[in-house]
Amino acid sequence: MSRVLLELDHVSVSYGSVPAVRDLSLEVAPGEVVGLVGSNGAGKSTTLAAIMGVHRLAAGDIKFEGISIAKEQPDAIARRGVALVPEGRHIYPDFTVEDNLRLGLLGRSTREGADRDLEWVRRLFPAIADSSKRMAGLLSGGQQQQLAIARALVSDPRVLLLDEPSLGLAPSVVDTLFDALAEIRDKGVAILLVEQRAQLTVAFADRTHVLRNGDLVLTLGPEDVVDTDRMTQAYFG
Amino acid sequence: MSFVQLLIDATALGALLALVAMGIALVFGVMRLVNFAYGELITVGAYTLVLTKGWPIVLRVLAAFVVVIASSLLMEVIFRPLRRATAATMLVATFALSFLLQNMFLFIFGPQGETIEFLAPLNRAIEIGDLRIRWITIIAIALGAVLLGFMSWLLGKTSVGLQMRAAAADFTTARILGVRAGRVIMLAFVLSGFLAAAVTLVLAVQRPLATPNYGFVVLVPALVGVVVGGLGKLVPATLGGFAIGFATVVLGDLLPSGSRVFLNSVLFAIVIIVLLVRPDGLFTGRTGVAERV
Amino acid sequence: MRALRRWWPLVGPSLLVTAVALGGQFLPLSTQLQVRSVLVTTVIVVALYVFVGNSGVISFGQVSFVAVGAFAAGLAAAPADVKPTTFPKLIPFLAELEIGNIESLVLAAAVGGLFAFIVGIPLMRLSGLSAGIATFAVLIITNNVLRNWEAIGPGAKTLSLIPQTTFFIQATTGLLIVMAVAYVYQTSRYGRRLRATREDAAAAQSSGIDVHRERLWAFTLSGVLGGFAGGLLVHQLGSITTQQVFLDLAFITLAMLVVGGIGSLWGAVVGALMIAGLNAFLAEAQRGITIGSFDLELPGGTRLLTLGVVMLVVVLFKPTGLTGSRELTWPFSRSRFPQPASPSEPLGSSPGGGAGRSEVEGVDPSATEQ
Repeated sequence: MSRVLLELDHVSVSYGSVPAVRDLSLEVAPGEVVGLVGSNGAGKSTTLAAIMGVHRLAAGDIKFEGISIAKEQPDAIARRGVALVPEGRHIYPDFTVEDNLRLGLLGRSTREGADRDLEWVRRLFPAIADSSKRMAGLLSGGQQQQLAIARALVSDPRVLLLDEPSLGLAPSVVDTLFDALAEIRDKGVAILLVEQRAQLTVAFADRTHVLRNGDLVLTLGPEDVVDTDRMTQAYFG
Repeated sequence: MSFVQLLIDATALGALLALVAMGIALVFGVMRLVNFAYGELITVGAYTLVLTKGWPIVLRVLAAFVVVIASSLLMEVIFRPLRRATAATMLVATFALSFLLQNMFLFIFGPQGETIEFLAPLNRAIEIGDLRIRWITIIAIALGAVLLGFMSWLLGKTSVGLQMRAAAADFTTARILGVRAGRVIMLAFVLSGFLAAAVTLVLAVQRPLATPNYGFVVLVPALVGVVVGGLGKLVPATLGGFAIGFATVVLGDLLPSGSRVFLNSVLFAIVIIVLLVRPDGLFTGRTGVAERV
Repeated sequence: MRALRRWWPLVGPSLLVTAVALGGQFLPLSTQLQVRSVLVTTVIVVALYVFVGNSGVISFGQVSFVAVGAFAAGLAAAPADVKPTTFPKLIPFLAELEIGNIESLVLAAAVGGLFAFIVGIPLMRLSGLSAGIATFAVLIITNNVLRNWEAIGPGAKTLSLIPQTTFFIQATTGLLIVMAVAYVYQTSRYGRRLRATREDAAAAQSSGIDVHRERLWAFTLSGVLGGFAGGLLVHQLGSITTQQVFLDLAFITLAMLVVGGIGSLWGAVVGALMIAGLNAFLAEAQRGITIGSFDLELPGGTRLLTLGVVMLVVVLFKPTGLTGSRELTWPFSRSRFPQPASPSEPLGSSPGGGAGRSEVEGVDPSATEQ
C-alpha cells in the first residue's frame, strides 16, 4: 500500500480541441481532505469526472492505490473504492429514497458490511431514514444532497469526490452538511472537495488547490484563511 | 359483433403489441436505440418453428426461445459501434439491418411463405352464450398479463431491475454508481429477445404463414404505439403498444365497412395528432422529461 | 476562376453527374435504362437531402411527395381516351385531362410542394424521433389513400400508358436543375439559418431564428423537388403502382443519403450514385453479364442482400457517410484549407465537441461510452 491514495500525474483533459484541464498534478492521502476551488470553467468538475473515468485523459495518468485507473470504466473505478457525488446531485427523482440508496450498494467490492454502512448513513442523515419510501424528487434540496452523499457512502469508498455539494443550499443547511463531512472524514474516508465557497473549503481542508483556466495556480493551507491576499486569489482564481 | 366480443379481441391484440412495445422500449431505455430490426427477431422465431416442424412441441418452443434470444444478443454485438452515434445514424442502421434480414429471409425461404403448423387447434373457439372466443385469444391475454406482471416484478423488485431502470433514467450516473453498462445492455437485449420469442409463439398460431416481413408488420404498429405512449419510459411505452392494438380492433369495427380500407389512415392520423398535442407521449404524465434527441 | 471555386461544391458534383450520364450513352441499351433510373433516383435523394440534410430532422415522409407528384403527373398525362375505362371511378376532371410533358412535370412539382406545405405546418413543430414517426405516418396515410380512394388515385391497379419522356436529356437536366436549386438554397440566407438550427435548435431559436418557419420552407422546397422527381420517375417508367413509391423507396433513399453523408449535397449525390449504381449493376448481374472474358451471373436476391450489407457496414463504421458529410473541396488550390468544420459537421455531433463550453459541469452522457 502506497502512502498516497489517489494521485493525478500531469493530467490533461480536453473537449474536442478545447483544453479543460492542463497538466494538473495533485495527491490525496488516506483520510485526508483536499479542496479544489476556482471560478466557473476552471476545470474543477472535469477533473472529478476524469478521475471517475467519465472523461478520457488527453495526457497524464491517474493512480488509485498505486494502480493506474486512467483507462478503466466508471463502474470498475467505483468498485475500487472511488465515489463521486456529481454536481446537481443526479439522484433519481422518480425512484424511492430507498432505491436510490440501494443503487449506491452496487459500488461496493463486497456485500460484507453493507448493513452496517446503511445504518451509519441513516444515523448521519436522519431525514433520509425517515422518508425512505418517498420519491427522491420530493425531498428538499438539502435532503437531496444528503441522499446523494449517502448513496456514495454506502459504496464503502476510500475516497469521496464531492462536486459543489453546497450549491443552491441555504447557509444553515451548508453548516449541517459540513458537519456531516467532518464526521465522514473522521471515519477515515478521504475527501476531494470541489467548491465555490473558498473560505469554507480552505478552513475545512488539509490543503486547497486553486485552479484557473485549467491550471493549478496556488495551494493554500487552513492557516491561510486569515490571509486576505491569498484568499482573494482563491476567490478570483 | 357483440360489444364484449369486441373488447376481448381488442384486448388480445393490445396485449400482444404491448409485449412488442416493451421489447422495443427495454432496449431504447439503456441504449437510446430504436430497433427497427426488432420485428425480424419475431420472423426468426417463426422460421425456427418452420424448420422444427415435426419436433415435439416442447422442443420447438425451446428452440424458438434459444434462437430468438441468441439472435437478439447478436444484434447487440452488431449495434455496439453505434453506442455513441447520433439518433439519425442509429435509426438508419437498424433500418438497414431490418432490410438486410428481410432480404436474407427472402433469399433463403422465397416470397411465397412457409406454413408454420404450430398448435393450430388453439384457433378453435369456445362458446359462452353468444360469445365465440378462440383459445389463442385467451392465451394471448393471459400470456400478456403474466409476462407484464413478470417484467414489472423483475424491474421493480430485483437488483438487476433497479440497475436497468437506473441505466434507462440516467446512464452516466448509473455507471458512476457501479452499474456494469455492458452487462445491463446485454440483459436488455436478452429480455427483449425473450419477449419477442413469446410473441412469436402466439402469432404463429394466429398467423400460420411465415413470410419475410412476418415480424415487420407487427413491429410497425408497436413502434408507433411506443412513440405515442412515450418512448423514454417503459410503462408509458408499453401502454402505448396496448392502446394501438386495442384501437386498431375497435376502429376496425366502428368504421363503416366501405371505409374500412382507410383504417390505417385513421389510425396514423390519430398518431400524428397525439404527437402534436403530446410530443413526449400520451402516458408520460406531467413530469415527462423532454427527449434528448 | 474565383467564381468557379466558389461554386465548386455545385459544379464538381454536376460534372460527375454529367460524366455518368454521358458515359451511360456508350453502354448497351438495357444498361442505358439502368443509368436513367440511377439519375432519377439521385433526384429523389437530393430532394430528400434538401430537408433532412439542412434541418437535421429525419423524415420518412418525403417519398409521399414523390408519390403524389408521380400520380399527379401520371394521371394527368395518361391518354384521356383510355382513362375512363381503366379507372371508372376517377373524377371527371382528371379523367378528361391530358397534358403535355413539361406541364405534367410542373404540375407534379406544384402538387408535391403544396402537399408538403400543408402537411408541414403542423408537423414541423416536432423534432427528433417524434418527427421521424410523424413523417412515417404521413407516408402510410398517403399510400393508403392513393391505393384506396379511386377518385383521385389508381387504386390497387397499375397506372400505365404514361408517355415515356424521361430519357437521357430529361433525366440529366432534371437532376442538374434540382442540384442547383438545392445548392442555391443551402447557401442562401434561409438555408444558412436552417443549418444553424441543426446542432442546437434551442440556441438558434433564442438567437432569433424561427425554427418552425425555416423548417417549413425547407420541407416545402423538398416537397416541390420530390414532386418533380416523382414526375420524372413516372415519365421514365411509363407505368407505376402505389407500392413502388412506398416504404422500400423511402428506406432506400434515406439509406443512400446516410451512406453518402447526410449533411452535404456532395454526400447526397455520391451516396445516390454509388448505391443506385451498385443496385443497377447487381440487377444486371443477376440477369447475367460479361465483363471482358469473365461471365458473371448472380443468383436472384443477391442484389438486395448485397445492398443491405453495404449500407449497414457503411452506417456502422463510417457514420458520417462516405464523404464525411462535407462538400466537395476545390482540388487545385496551393494551400488547401480544410473546410471550416462547423457548418458541415455531421448531424448533432457529440456535445462534448461544442467549442463554447470550457467546462462541462457534472457529467456528460456522450462521453461515457468506450
